[in-house]
Amino acid sequence: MALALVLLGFGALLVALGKGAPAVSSLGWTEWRHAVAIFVVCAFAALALERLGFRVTIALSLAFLLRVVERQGSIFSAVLSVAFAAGAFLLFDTFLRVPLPRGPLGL
Amino acid sequence: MTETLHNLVLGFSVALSPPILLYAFVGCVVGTLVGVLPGVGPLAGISLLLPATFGLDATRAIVMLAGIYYGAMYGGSTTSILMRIPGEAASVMTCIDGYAMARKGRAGAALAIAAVGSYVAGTVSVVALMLLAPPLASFALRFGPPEYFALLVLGLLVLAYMSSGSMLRALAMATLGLLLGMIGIDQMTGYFRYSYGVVELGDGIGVVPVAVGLFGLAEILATAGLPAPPPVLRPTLRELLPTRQEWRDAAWPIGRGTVLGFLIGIVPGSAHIIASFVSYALERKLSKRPEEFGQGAVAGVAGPESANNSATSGAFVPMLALGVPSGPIPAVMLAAMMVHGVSPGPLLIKQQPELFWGFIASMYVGNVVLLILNLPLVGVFVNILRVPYPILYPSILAFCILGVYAVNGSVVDVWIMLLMGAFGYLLRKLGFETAPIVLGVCPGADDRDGAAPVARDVRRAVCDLPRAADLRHAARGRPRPDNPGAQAARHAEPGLARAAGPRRKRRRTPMKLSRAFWLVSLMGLAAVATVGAQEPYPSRPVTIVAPFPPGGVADLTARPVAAAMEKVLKNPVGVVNKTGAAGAVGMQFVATSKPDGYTLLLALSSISIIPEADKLFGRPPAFTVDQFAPIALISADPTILVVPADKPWKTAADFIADARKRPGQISYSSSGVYGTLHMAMELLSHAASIKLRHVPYAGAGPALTAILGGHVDALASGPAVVLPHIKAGKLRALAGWGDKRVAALPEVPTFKELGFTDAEFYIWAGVFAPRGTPEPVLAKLRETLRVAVADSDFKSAMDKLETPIVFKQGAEFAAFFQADAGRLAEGVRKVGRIEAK
Repeated sequence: MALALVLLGFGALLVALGKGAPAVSSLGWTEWRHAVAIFVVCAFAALALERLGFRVTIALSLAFLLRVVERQGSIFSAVLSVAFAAGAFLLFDTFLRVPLPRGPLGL
Repeated sequence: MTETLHNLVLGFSVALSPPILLYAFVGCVVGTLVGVLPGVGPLAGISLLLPATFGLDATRAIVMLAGIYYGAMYGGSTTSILMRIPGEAASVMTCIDGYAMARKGRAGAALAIAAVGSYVAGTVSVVALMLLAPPLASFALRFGPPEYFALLVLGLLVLAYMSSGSMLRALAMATLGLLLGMIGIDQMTGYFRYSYGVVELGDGIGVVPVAVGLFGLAEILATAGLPAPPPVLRPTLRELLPTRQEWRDAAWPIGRGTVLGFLIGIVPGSAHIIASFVSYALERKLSKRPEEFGQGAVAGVAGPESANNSATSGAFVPMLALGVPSGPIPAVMLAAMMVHGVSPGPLLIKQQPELFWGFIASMYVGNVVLLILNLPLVGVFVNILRVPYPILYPSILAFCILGVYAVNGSVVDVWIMLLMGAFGYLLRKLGFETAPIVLGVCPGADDRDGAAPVARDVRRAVCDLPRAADLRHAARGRPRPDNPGAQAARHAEPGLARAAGPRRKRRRTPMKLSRAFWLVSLMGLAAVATVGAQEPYPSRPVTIVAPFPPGGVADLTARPVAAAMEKVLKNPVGVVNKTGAAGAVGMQFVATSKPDGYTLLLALSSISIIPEADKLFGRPPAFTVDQFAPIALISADPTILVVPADKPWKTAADFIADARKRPGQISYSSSGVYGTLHMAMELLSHAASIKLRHVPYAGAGPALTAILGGHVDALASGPAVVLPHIKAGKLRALAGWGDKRVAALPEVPTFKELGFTDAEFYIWAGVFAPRGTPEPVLAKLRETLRVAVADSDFKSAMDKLETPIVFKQGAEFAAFFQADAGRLAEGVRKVGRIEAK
């Protein structure tokens, strides 16, 4: 409770002292589309990680980011996504025993 | 002194043999690889890789673990410098100036300085450890709550020195961090604070997802959509190494960081986090050019990195000299050594000098191997910056998700990282510093990902951060000598970057899915749709969930069990630590898992306590015991009552008589409210009609430290943990809670013998499956475990842990479980709600 009041106090002070600050709209938000796309991909990964397994989730997420968001070539995106997901799983889960989710098919 | 040198020579003669050097090398390589993952620092690295050493003899295993430890420490710095992703809380300070150096094209120099600083700090602190361990350890134990409060004041002083931007904004962020740090179980009362029914929030918000979100993900969100990247950096070999001036700038900070870190590190509970922050503040205060801090000051990398490494070595002082795990990293190393039959403690140096000195020598060797390994690798690491950013950032994102998930095996942590990333992005746009939030959250992270407990008291420390930065700008290299200010402005704010830099046409970012992408997605969904086909058991990996952190009893029992089961089933059996809410998170996870025999639980006695505590507080139960099918009991360790040897009580009767005379005045420490150590004492209190003063600590290690430091009068503990201290004459055992006397302490009676028949308590470990698991699968698992506990490697592992194997299965285990659950439920009801007392 005390902390919340202190935080409110700081907030009020910031508002009071920030009248001369530049408007939020003047900051420039041109990267917002990318930011939203990345955010959505991360949300998908969080939802799918234990449902689809690490390899499938990461491969799909990377494929989307590379192909759709960054407009890389289809074959390049597919190969890199699958290779990254499989390689990371092999290195960390299989060799280094870092447990990663496998999903219902063991993938 | 001559004897010390003689012993050291003995240690080196072992550590420098070719096979041992090979294991040190492998350990360093593996540790570096794991440590590079965001969030996976030395703590998680050692615990994850501990099973890989089960098949080795003690010396090789310990040398390899020392290599993993140093490798993981260094790996964390690499991501901080190159990607602004702190490997752990202590690496936050390295992010600030290390990343700023990378932005200026000095990534190689920053990595080299971090490597050399870590080497010097590690080596010097090991010398100090070797010479000063016993006297310093005794001194360190005197640190209690008042001294921790003094550290809090130190944190406030650090804040005053470190905040270079708006102090008001920094304070607001620190307060916000403190508020986030309040989430989780109140250790004094057992209340769930601000968890809103999300059981995973029971242990609070981990510092790793917060730090990775606020730093790493926010960085990607803020920079990925900026105008096309500048040409990538292609540094020459000469540019990879620090200049003479940079070495000069780094020399004294490394020295100061080493001494400061070691001194802070020996305090039980403190460690590398506060050391790196204090070192940064000190260097800034002493610098002739404090304005360079945050813009790529060499001292801002050299000092904190040295202090961080030195502090962690310092934390080994109480562990080696007294067998007290004073922080999370020593706790895991202690557990690892115990698995290999080495029991650090007061008698280790005298009784097993070759092991003590072998460990010391292996730390030297690990340091040297790491330096030799990593200096040439600086060029390799820096080449990461050559990868075009549109290809690099998705990979970084995947590593962030991997690392954050791996720490606790929790998707909730990935969500926290995501939310913190979005929040951090907005804060950066609005010009707020984010590091104070990380520090505020540290207290709640103690159990989740190894932040030092002292951070609880130092949550107000605040640092300054460079404003929004761009990895693509890091790849650009050096600032323009003619206009460094404009360069800084471009890094500082994406909006300004466009104004100051050459304008480029913004790339279109159409969100249409290509056919290829749809094809990939549909294939994935089709794969999921095929799930459910019948299959022989087991036909895929089995997972044993340990609901407590790595290095604890559940974890240390689960790993040999899994290894032995794997042999019997001829099928992979892995261990996943799903921690949180005093074990409730992992237990709930298994209770609600598919009952197919592929997800099992290794539970301790607390499985019966949690549902009763939930009832007591009127909250929806995380799970109930009837959601589990008991498979087999693996071990049952009776607890024993110990008091400091200098206390007047020679027998349990003396202790109880005195407690009756002075109700509420004799104190005892425990691992936490309603924890196993608490419940044992409460059962005794009710059986003997006495009233003791309960002082809960954040785990069994701190509870042991408290009694050894004279802060409390008694402790209930498993025999293995306190035996070295009893033998060393520091503690006295009065009685045991078991049905029979402890084999190692035949002269110590049981409470039952003394007439307290209700005082029976065991710390046991058993394997459970979700209720509804098919009987043929349960039968297969029972048979597997029966064979597994007879496995010689399993027996050896349990012997080394001094944990007696007590195997019960089927109806016998069910009856044992029911009786124990009944006793504990009654105990919880008798204790009642703590805040009501």
